[in-house]
Amino acid sequence: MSRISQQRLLNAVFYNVYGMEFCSTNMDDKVMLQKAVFLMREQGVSCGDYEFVWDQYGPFSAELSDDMKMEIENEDRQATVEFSSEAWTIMNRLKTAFAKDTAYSSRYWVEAIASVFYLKKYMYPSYDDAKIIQVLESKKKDLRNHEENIKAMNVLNEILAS
Amino acid sequence: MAVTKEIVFENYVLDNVHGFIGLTFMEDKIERLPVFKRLQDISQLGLVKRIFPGALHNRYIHSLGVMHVIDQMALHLGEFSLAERQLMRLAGMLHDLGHYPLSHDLEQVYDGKPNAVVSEIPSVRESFLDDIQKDIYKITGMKNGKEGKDLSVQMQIPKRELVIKGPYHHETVTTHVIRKSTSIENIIIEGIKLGFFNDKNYKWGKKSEECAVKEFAHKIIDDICALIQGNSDYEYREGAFPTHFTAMLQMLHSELDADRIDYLLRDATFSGASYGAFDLGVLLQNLAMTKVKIGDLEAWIVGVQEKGIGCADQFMVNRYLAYTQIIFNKYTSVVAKMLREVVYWMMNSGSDLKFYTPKDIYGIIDMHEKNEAYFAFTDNYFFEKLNSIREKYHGCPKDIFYFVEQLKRFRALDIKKEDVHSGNLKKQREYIKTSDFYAQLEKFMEERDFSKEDGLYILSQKKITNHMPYKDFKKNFDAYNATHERKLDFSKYELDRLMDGLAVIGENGETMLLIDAPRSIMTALYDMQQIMVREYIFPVKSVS
Repeated sequence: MSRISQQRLLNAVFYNVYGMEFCSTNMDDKVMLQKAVFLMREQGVSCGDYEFVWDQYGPFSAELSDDMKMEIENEDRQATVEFSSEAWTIMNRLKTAFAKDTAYSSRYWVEAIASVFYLKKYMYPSYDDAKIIQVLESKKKDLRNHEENIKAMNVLNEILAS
Repeated sequence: MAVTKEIVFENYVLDNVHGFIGLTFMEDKIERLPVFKRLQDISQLGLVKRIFPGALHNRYIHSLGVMHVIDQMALHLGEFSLAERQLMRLAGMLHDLGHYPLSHDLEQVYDGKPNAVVSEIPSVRESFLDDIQKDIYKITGMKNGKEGKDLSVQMQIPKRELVIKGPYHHETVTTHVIRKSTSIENIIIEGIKLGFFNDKNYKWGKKSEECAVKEFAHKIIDDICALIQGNSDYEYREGAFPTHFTAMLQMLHSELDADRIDYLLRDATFSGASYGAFDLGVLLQNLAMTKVKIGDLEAWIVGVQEKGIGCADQFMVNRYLAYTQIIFNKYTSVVAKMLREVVYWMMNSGSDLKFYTPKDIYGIIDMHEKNEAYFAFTDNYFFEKLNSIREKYHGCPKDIFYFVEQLKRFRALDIKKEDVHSGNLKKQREYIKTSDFYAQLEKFMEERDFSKEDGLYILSQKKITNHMPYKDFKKNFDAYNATHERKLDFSKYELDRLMDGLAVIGENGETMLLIDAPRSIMTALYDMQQIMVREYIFPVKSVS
């Protein structure tokens, strides 16, 4: 049974999805990790016992926020994380989705995708995509680039279809 | 069929707990669907019946019971339209539609472990030890004698009812079953056409009737799924149907909800133990609801009147006892874990046993109207697989096969030692530091020497409530925000707390949780928890 720490696992997820080391004091990194873990969970791959609610920056888990703050124990730093094949599939899917060309910064792009997902699935399931985007733009002042939001919705639909 | 001013029952089911439970036109049709009948073969308490032989009740009758109770609550509160009552009844009836065979015993296999990481199938001893190590670490914050994560920060955010669970939680699976059922959709459409959801607050708009009816049916299904999932983020608009959505949410998802009310009464009736029994009539008579506004947010809060505090106290205490005496009974605890190990092995063994994996579940649900695989996914499915395990043919490890044989013979493991301690968290931590039993366990956790025939350990823990007094909640919330760059919105958490917990509503509409009400014994008991550690005899040497 793998006994790597939770923090090591989260770092590895961040690295595999975004191609860079996670910095626990960087706000953008924390937002991006929240969204990656959320989207992985929604596609059936769980990184921990995290429950998400709608928050200022989209789907958010307070427990995950706490776990991100933990320091990696020294003996853990070099530990290899053996992800399942499903986890690799989902992480690669997200990596592709998050790497698409966008006028948003990485953090806002990821936030847009995860937010439309949560709005569409949990908050307004009866709304069509255009209405969801309207709601997104009314709720988030940093995500009011309409064209980019349409792109984010298209990317989300691709993720859901695969 | 005419639209009437009262709920009309077409049929009845006779129930040990509530007497005759009426079924409306739609409910009668849903009751006959195979996907609902399937619940008759899913035992409410899993393998608890091995220890409490009368506990033979199933998810089917519990679902009807919840439907009945939620309507009784609505009647006593008196605020709901017929359409809203019908909506709640359907949510109550369908709330466990996607439950796993043997209920939570098997759910822990599908929803229990994070599956991002590949892990070798551990030996039974390793698996039990990993679990108890995690459990003790959660309580003490200590790992192998060393200070670990600072749990004081994490524990400021209490576990809530009103959150959407993961993809393999039975609530999420239930909503998937409902959405994939054209039969349920068609029944709801029929009900809409017959006027069951006529409500002055629903605006049909300018669509054709056929289009409007279908759209409304989808909205009803969305409402039902949101209620079942405890989705407090679900959009509800002021003045739109259902106008009392936030109240309905609590009636299915809070410390005082129809689900708990029914299962406590039912478990007490069938197990033979009186733990869990309480006076339902008095509780219903004392229900109240009021609108609460905190900051920009507003919600209905359902709770008890001040004069109902006594019966609310009884409810909370008896629920706590039902868990500590029945669910976490020394033999039911180990039987549940034995089952988990066997099923986990079956899923991962690569043999022809082919127990459905988490990945398989959604596939068979999607096909449930085309083939019978999902209908057969009941307790019988588990027992068929269990009885077909052959040690050599399937390459079953000795330790797993020992469990298989015990389960087949209706046996648990014999208990070697037990340590049960009640108190608040601080007392528990002090106790653990000084207890010889825990010292012995800690030594085992450090050495992890599985060549010795030491026993298997299980830790069970039950708190009387997940909530803390308002002043502590506020203090911890402020401390959380002080240590995190991203601040949480206090209004939202404050309102969620009132919706989540058991509320007391004063004569002038003032609200507080039961644990804050001066008259309640919960002001003294709120941090009570019981921790039970048992060591079982396991006469199988570790498989290396």
